[in-house]
Amino acid sequence: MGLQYAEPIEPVREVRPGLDVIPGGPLLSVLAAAAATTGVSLADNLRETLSDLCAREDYGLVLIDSGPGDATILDALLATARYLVVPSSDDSASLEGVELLATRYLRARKAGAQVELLGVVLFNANIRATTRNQLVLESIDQMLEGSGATRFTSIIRSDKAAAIDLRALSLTPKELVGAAAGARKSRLSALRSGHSPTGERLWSRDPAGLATDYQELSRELLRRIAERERVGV
Amino acid sequence: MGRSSVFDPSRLDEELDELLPPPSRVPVAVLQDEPPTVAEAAGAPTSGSGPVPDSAAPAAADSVEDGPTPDSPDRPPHPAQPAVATATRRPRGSGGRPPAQERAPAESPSNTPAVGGFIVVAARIPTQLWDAVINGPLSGRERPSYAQLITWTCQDQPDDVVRQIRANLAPDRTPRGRRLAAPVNTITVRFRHDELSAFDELIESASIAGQRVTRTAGIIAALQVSSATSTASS
Repeated sequence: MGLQYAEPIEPVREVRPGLDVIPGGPLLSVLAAAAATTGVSLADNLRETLSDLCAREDYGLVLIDSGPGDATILDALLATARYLVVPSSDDSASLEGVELLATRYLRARKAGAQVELLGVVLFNANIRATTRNQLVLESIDQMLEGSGATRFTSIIRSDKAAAIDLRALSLTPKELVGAAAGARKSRLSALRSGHSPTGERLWSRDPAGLATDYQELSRELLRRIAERERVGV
Repeated sequence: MGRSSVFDPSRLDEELDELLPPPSRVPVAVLQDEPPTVAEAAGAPTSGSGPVPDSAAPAAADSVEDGPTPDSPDRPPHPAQPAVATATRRPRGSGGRPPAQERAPAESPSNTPAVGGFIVVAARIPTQLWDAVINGPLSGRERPSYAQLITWTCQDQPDDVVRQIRANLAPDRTPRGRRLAAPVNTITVRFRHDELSAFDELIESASIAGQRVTRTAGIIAALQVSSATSTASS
């Protein structure tokens, strides 16, 4: 509604301390078609509602998690956002997706958008495949030449079991570390006492590595934003 | 694997409009007010899939093919024909590093990747140590690279580094069986050739009874010494 009609957005408050969330909702997928037929400016609406929201709630940072597929929404986001972070997997389709996004990013800037590229981060990668990762990182470096941005040194590792648990339990990676340790303990003590383990089964055994990756990326991301903001002051 | 510099703004005047269909809306006006700080992430890191070719631009997606093409340093290569990486590529503008031709040639050991005249050594160090280094010797606004920090520590306190390596490698009762994972951070140390040679020499001298000392062990020891020195002096 915020995008289509510039109506005030109501966030879901305090899902974690200091964190509000605005879910996209199922109507987001039909929004682009509706905007095309009605001539609504998604960028203008988004900028207006976001500006109101930030003034009202006094947010320090707004993160928009967008899908790569919807070009109309992507263009509106590029016209609104201040910084761009591009995650890419290590397969060629993902890297080609980054190339397409780069074209959209440059066109948005050409049209006057203030968005700045913060960097590209490799994620969903096998951290043990060092040679392959090195080649992918070199490709990313080549794509970033001349942009003034560098790739993030953090890499988000692939951990399918943790991904399943995170979705199922709506936990953050850091919270999953504690949950996995607790689940392991209670499972072992149940088995020791001859009972079948009860409670929700967790697939991940040790998500500490994944949590560390995200922490490192967050740190790097915030540092880069702070550096840009400092320069901009 | 060769990729062109797709984020290079110099593409704007030459090829951009050929690659994408015209935007669905009129061009976006320049923001009048200071916009809120917004970091836009295309594709959720947790979603398990990266940016994929956009259905709105099938022509562009189809035109992306791998394969080398002649490249001129004056003109950015066309993204549809990714260029091979050559020595004439432009610097990436990372923090005042000297241009590639001024740096030492990449003569790396065969088992170490060399990137742009640097020899990259990846090492996993305990997160606690990483925190200590980041908040200690690397906390200033102007700071050395990991490689410089390690090299300087090895130059200034070689005895301490050797002692630390030996202390770390001394037999202890850490179980070699099943262990719980501990948080670690991977750092990529970009040594110059001369820096790496000196570093390798030092860690070799720390070896006792033919016990092999890995570069990771050397890096960890050097960072521990550096971090301890920084704490003591502050």
